[in-house]
Amino acid sequence: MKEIVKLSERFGTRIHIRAQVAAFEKTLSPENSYLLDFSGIETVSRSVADEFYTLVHSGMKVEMYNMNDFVRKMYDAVTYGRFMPRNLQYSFDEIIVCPDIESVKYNLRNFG
Amino acid sequence: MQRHNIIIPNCDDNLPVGEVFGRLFDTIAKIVSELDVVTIDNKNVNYRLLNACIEFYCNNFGHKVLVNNVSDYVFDVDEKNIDYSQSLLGDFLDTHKISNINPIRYFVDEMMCNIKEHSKAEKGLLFYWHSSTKNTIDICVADNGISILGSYVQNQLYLDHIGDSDAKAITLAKKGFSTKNRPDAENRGFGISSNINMITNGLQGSMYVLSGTGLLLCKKDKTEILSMPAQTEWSGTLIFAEIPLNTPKEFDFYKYM
Repeated sequence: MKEIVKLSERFGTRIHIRAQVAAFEKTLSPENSYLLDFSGIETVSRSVADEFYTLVHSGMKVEMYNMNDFVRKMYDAVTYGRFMPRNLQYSFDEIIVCPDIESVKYNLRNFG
Repeated sequence: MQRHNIIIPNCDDNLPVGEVFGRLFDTIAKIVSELDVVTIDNKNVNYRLLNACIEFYCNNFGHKVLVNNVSDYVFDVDEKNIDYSQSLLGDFLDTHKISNINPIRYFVDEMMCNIKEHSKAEKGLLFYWHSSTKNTIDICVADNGISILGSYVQNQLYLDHIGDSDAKAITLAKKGFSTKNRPDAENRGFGISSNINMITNGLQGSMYVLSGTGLLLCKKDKTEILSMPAQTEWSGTLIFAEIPLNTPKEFDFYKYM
């Protein structure tokens, strides 16, 4: 039988911090099955959505439901990001070396 | 022991952001150059965000200084205090009837997450200000942690590319290089990179990242990276965003996630 976990009772209406989800994961047992109920959760950060993605795909028996539009779109963005590598490159634009405060202020003023 | 007085010149929130940073660095350099007790006279400064940054610097980077007004926006870096700081932001946005809150909340969420996950800081600063003259929300998120370079060094990542350069370290962070990707996925590193894209290209605001002696300046279609002298060093990271409240019609928040 699946245990329903109402996330809003644990986290309130917003889940901001990745570490909160990481701590929650430690309370789950791999022997059990869980339904994570997102009703009452208004927003999650992208980092939190990423942490839930990791949880759902970790081998733990976890399903999620009752996501509102915002949460669902944030989760979808994370899912998309996992399948679309960004091809990061080690290139550096010109770095302006400022030897003194006056040159820092000059560049700040000119940046506008 | 001699006591030296540093007077910060008049400024209000009409001041261009570059000028605000200029005044911040001027003040920091003067503090650093004084060995004895320093008093900051900030009574003529009407731009409270500048005051908050200076006060945070004074109180958290080990200088013997006295400051006129103690900032209420400093918090101990733990989940409870981070959560509480963000709930105060929510109250502020409600009070000022800010309608397009998703970008603001996203920026603060991701920057606070970075403080918790990467900075190893004891103290953080979350300061925000509604500028009615510029019609922006100005937000500063800062910490007294190990800096972006420090985080790469601690994780022994990308050091062949960045050496001991704070400016290069910030460049990699802007591109999305993370210290905490999973072995099987590039799933991290979105906080700074996506916010720069959203705030500058999407909302036509500006974003500045100060870490150690590196300073990244970003606005729509223009980016500069400065490597600054040692006396302006911020021992941690400070991120400042000017977020316009006039949202372009075509802005789609989810596009930047």
